[in-house]
Amino acid sequence: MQASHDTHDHAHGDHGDHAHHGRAPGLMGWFTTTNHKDIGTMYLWFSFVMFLVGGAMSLVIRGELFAPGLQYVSPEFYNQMLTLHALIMVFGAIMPAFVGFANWMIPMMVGAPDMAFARMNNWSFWLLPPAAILLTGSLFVPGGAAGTGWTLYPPLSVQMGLGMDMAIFAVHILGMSSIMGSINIITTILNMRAPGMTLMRMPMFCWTWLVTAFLLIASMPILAGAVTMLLTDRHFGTSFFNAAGGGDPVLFQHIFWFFGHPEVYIIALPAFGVVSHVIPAFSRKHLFGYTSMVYAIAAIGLISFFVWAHHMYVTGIPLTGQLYFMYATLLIAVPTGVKVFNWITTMWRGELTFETPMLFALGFLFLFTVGGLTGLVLAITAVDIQLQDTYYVVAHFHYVMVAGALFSAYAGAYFWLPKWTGRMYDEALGKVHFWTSIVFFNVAFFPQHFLGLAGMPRRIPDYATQFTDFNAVSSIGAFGFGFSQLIFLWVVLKNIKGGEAAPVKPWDGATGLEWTLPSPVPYHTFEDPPVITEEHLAAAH
Amino acid sequence: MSANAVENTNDLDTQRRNNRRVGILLALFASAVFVTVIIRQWVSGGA
Repeated sequence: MQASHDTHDHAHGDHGDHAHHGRAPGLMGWFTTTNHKDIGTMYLWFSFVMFLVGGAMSLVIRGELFAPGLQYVSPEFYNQMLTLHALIMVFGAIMPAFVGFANWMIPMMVGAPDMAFARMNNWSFWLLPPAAILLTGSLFVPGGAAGTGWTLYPPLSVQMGLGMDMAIFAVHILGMSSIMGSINIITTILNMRAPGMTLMRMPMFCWTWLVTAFLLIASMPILAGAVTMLLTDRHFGTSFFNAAGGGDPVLFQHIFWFFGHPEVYIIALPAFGVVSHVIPAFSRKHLFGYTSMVYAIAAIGLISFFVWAHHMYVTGIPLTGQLYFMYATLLIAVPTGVKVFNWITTMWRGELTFETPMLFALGFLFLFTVGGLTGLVLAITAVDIQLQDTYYVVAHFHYVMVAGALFSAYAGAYFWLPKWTGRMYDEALGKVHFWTSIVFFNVAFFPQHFLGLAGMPRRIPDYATQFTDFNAVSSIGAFGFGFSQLIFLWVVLKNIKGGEAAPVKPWDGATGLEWTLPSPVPYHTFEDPPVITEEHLAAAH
Repeated sequence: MSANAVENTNDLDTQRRNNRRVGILLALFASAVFVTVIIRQWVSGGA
């Protein structure tokens, strides 16, 4: 592990002009690069490819559910699609997307020349493709991929075939990548900020990632431990989760969700960070309540470790336990409410304009709040016992994950794309992307609330005929949403190919160190620590 | 850990040493969580 942040003097001293070169030519350059911008770009492309793969799997699911009865796939294959869709979207698409943003933006936001451990950064990324190959390749081994759902609950996960082992190894690798990425981010933020960039002056995206990285380091090893115990139960004769040998399958659920609930915020917090940059920029105001935002992020991170059993109300936990987890879960609404209040108050009496990043940020705000509200409904034990494992839950977490994380990621991508490529994207296409996405998203997922309330169980390839109409509508919405995402690919490719040159600061309300750099950003930035001026400091407030 | 990077960027070795210290601490913490999860279940008779 080695810091790569050669100073200007150092670069000319020890390495000659090496530090001012770009990456090596060709494919090898991408394999060996230690530049945070290159690695950020690779993370973003990887996540988008995985998003398309996971999205294609969701279309298999929605195609099958378009009508009752079995149409296209066997129930076993349906379960495999469902499991891989979730694992790929969570670990392969959403998380790497925000790590990509972190790689690109955090060093520039704090005035550092690169990430603290640049070589480890390269390794963090290159661990991802093997994990993706393991996950998708497991479809082709005897018995097919894991069909347990992303929760990998025993006893099914102890009984499945080789595909399950491949999923376990993939989770191990993805966990290692996440932990290394988190170590890098924490060290960069704590040790490499420019003079004058104190913690409470940091841009909000850095704050959200600092808390997220701690959540990852504390929770990812728990998942790694859980799947390691699964592996030893499967192959080494232990009985951690095997009731026949004295183990307890419910124990796995406790361990999994002790990781799983912080994971929800690992996905959500960086999304909050992106939106906290976009909304002030297009409101021409500073972020309202910076300090309260920081404390709210920390509070959400902390409380997320104490609410895990709200995923397990029906597993026989005692009534007092149910009550505790219900109240603790409801408590999360307080810091989350603080954040939503602050975003809305930031817009209050602002000079609002509605370019694509702002549209996606507003889409996030509206839909994430809907998802948060249904989360409160599900947090109430008596209600959850009715709605557990129904489509209401599926609707809830897609409003949080897709509308929350994905819309925020798009907001960030459109916001920073001019800085990355040096060219403005096609605004009209961007707006088409937004409007088709938000309409089709709601067509796909809003009816699922009704299906859940009517009692349609999740994770089934067939259903009673009374659920037909809403399922057909949901499938049409899903296909529309899926194909809408190709517009984004078109926008990005068009942007890379050409377009109007972007100024240093394409958004007049944007503040922060990254907007002081030329567009496109030079390969090496802030080799000499920047002098933080009042204008820069204003970025954080 | 330093909140002020002036001294760090002027002294690359100090910067590296500080980074390595934080990195190793975090890696040890992650490893400890991993081991504790398994040991905790093991000693409670889970295995």
